[in-house]
Amino acid sequence: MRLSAFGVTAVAALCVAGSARANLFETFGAGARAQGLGGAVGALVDDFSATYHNPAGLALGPPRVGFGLHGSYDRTSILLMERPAGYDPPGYDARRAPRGDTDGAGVSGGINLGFSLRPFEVDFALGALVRVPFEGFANIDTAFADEREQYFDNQLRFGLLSERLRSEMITFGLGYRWHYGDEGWLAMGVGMVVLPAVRTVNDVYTPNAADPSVVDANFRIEQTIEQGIVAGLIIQPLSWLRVSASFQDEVFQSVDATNQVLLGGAEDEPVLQDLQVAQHYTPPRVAGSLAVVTDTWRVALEGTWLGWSRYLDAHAETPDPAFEDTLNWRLGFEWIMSDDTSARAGVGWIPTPVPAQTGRSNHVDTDRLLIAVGGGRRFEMWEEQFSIDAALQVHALRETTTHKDRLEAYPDCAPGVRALCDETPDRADDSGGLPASATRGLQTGNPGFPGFTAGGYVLLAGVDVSWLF
Amino acid sequence: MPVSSRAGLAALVAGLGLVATGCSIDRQMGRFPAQEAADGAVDAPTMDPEPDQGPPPDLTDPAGHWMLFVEDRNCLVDAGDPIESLIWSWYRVELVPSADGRASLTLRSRICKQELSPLAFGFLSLVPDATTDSGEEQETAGFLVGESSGALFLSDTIVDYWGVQGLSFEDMVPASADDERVVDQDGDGNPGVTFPVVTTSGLEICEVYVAQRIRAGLEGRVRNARRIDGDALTGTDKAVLAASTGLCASGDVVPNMAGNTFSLVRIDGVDGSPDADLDGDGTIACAEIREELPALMAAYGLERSEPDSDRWCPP
Repeated sequence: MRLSAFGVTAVAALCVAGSARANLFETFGAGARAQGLGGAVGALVDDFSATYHNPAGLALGPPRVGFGLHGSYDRTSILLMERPAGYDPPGYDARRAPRGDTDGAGVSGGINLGFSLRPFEVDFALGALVRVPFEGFANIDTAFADEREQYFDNQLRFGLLSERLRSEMITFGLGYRWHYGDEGWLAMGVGMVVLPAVRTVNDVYTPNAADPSVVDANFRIEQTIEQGIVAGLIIQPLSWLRVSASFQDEVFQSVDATNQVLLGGAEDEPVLQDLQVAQHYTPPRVAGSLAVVTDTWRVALEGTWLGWSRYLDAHAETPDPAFEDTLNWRLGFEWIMSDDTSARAGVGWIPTPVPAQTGRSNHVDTDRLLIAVGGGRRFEMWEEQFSIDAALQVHALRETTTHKDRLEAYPDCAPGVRALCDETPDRADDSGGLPASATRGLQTGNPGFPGFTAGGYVLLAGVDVSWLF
Repeated sequence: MPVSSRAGLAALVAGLGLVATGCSIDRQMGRFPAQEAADGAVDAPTMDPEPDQGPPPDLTDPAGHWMLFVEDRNCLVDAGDPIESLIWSWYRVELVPSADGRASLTLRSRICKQELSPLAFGFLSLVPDATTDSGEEQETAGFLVGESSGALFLSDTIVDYWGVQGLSFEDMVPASADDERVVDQDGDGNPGVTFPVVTTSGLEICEVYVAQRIRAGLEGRVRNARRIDGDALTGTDKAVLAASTGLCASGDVVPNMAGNTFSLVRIDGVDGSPDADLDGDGTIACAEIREELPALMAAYGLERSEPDSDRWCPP
């Protein structure tokens, strides 16, 4: 018997993508100075990294062109608990990849290129910052966070870390400073985070549905962009006090693919396949910062609200249970050791937005403690002013163990089911193609079953060199 | 940089290192106990899987209840390379020797269960028990030429019609649901008989409504008093009448005349055979065979072959 439906899924992966990713800057900060301050730079930023943190800061520093090298060392781990006997769904032994632990992405790195200019007057500036990862541009790597993943890599992932550390980033913005009184000023700025997006419509013809390896296809691919607005202001009401506020809209890289599949023998009934990707979702962000500025030291306390409740996972699905909005706290300290040398340190607490994953889903994340050190120095070479900044940052993940909930009865897997679910509904007899005994109780290939432990750390090292003019 | 600054920086870096080295994690134990009667396992055989020692070599009295297991090879053909589809059928057979003591037999048979091998992506076409139960008992002639091991056994062709009636052996199976010979045999409101198509996990993809004729002629040799093995002259003539979605319409099936086999095994407790008469009423029903099928298969070492398209359905 040949079934034409056999060919339907043959083309599920035919979307083609080119893209950038967010958001390494959110994790560590944009640029070595921000990283050395633990990211608490909303009120202190004065270079092109302001295009991400707070565009108002573009107007505060001298114009410059900069180049940076930034590398991370991801040592996160997810250790899966051993599966107990008797829970395997039919065919579980034949999965393409065996269920396995997850190790961090290892070493990754990239370069930052940025500039800030003052083309018209002293207090008006514009700037841009681009991060290009060494691993290459236009990478997309998705995974399912429930039992569907058993048919793919069959692993869990840190959805808010790991691959995000290999991200591209493009930001640009404008800033203006307005002076009032003897010492007071107000700076404001707007900018944009830009991520490419892809729209594809693919026409696929499978002449023999019983042999889906043979596929004829035409592609229509359109490259577009997704953008998120960034805006902010910095007020210095007193010579020693700065207050800042900034906002960034949500942005994510998207792939929207539609496959229209025709199967040989059923040409009058095309099958439409909609495939959605929302990679590296960056939530809406509101940050407020208070900084004390003196001639010899600066300290800033920054609180950041992140609207994670709007999160979309890699397949553009809203997690169930949904993520929670979070409030991060970061404290940065900068010691002005001399006219040309400074040392920096920062700490931060980054609570996870991910609720306990005791049911069907496996979004893995933990609270993080951030510790950072760094320094900067200005120097003269070829009669020009340069600066060099360096930073080292570690994110220590709080070890978290998740046990899936044990229930009296498990619901059948279906859309909208939140609990750990039964992939093989119980049957009273053998008529379903399976022995009835093989359907009793819970059968699940969910890679997160029966539980897992997550933890580890991520290190970052960064160096920026800028020409000030 | 002053000495004190360097010392402070060194202390911070050392602190970072300490944080990092303290972040290794350990695997934890789960809280779920082992689960019984699952894991894709079938029921444990309730019969002795090893035939008792020293079965009588001669089949002196074939009268009684037997189970016929037929493996039917078919090729699915379309524009691409053909794919092998195996059909396994289990019949309840009562052998009735002729009264005059000659070699002729009567086979009263009824198909009890049928399964098909999975196809691409593990999709599986199911034959519900309701379909097999809606069939009628067939009576065909057979011949057992001798009693000893190696004696020849022959039967006329056992023919079952599903979803169609009034059809002769030579007639084409009607492909239209409007044909007056097509009947709703399983009474589900759809023409012919209904085959659900499911994934390996049991998720139903669609339904196919078919009319078909199943043929099985037997030509084998006595192995011992409770088993006859041989070649099956089989064929399944199938016509798709409709489907719940057009995509599930079936393609062409070409019966493969080579490699089809049968085993006729005794299941009434005579001559040391397993006894599938669970209710002790002196007869064996299809429901009893289905319930004891894993045990019966194990008792006689009967196994289903794996599809081998390269060998049996070459391009």
